[in-house]
Amino acid sequence: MPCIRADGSLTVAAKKVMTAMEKPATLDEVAAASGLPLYQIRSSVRELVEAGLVEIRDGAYVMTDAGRRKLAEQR
Amino acid sequence: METVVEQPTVAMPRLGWPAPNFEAETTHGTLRLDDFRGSWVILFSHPADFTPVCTTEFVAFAQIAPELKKRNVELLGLSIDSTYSHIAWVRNIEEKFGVKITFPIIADLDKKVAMLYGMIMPGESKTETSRCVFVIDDKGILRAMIYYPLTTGRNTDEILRLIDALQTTDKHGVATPANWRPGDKVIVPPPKTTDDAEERLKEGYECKDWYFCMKSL
Repeated sequence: MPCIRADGSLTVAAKKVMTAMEKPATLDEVAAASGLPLYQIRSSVRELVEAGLVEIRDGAYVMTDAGRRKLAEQR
Repeated sequence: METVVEQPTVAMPRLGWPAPNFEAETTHGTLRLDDFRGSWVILFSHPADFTPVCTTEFVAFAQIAPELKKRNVELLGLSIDSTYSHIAWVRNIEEKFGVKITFPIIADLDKKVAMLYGMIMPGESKTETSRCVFVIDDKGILRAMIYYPLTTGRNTDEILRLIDALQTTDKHGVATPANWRPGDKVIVPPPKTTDDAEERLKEGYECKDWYFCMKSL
């Protein structure tokens, strides 16, 4: 699913993916925690990294400060 | 004098080669074929949304989806329709047939993926994709292709059987005979040297001859 809607809000899938990245996680761990298929995690992460909401740190994926703020706003 | 009509050459994917990669808009967002690595993929096309044969096929694909998941296989549909059309159609299928379509569907309005995979058969239709199935393994290699015409719905039981056969081949290094089903005997690859041919009959397989030996798994 696309992660960010036209109005800037996060989709349900994006929230699940980002929540699984509170701490650094591998894509497999994110898939297991979110219950979403791995292909969807890869696609979502690509979009979230481009939007600056998630970053790669030491080979793992984690929310950026901007990502945490955005998720907190929409919870 | 007979007129020779020149047919355009269309690129076709090849079995045993890496499946051509693509990025496409789908009902699950922008996806790349690469996103599926590590899983097997059944990439399949249908002629158009809101048509009866395609609807029966989508219901049938949705019904085998749980069995495919057990085999690490993801479904990925495609037609030359918009995402809005796809969304409306899958909602309609759920409403009218009680079947939820959980797999993504490519909206190939620019025919990019359809052309890459040779899904359009101009002799049938220049504006619709035929009923194609591409089986791509977990390493991204194209393992099987099936092409059906517009008029004829596919047999999803055969697609499941094909997946079982390919995965059995990979796991055990064997081939599968005609109409093979899981649990049936499999074919031991024939020997390639005269010495091995001599030995084959002593190896304990069920052999009709040196080139035709079977075994149970």
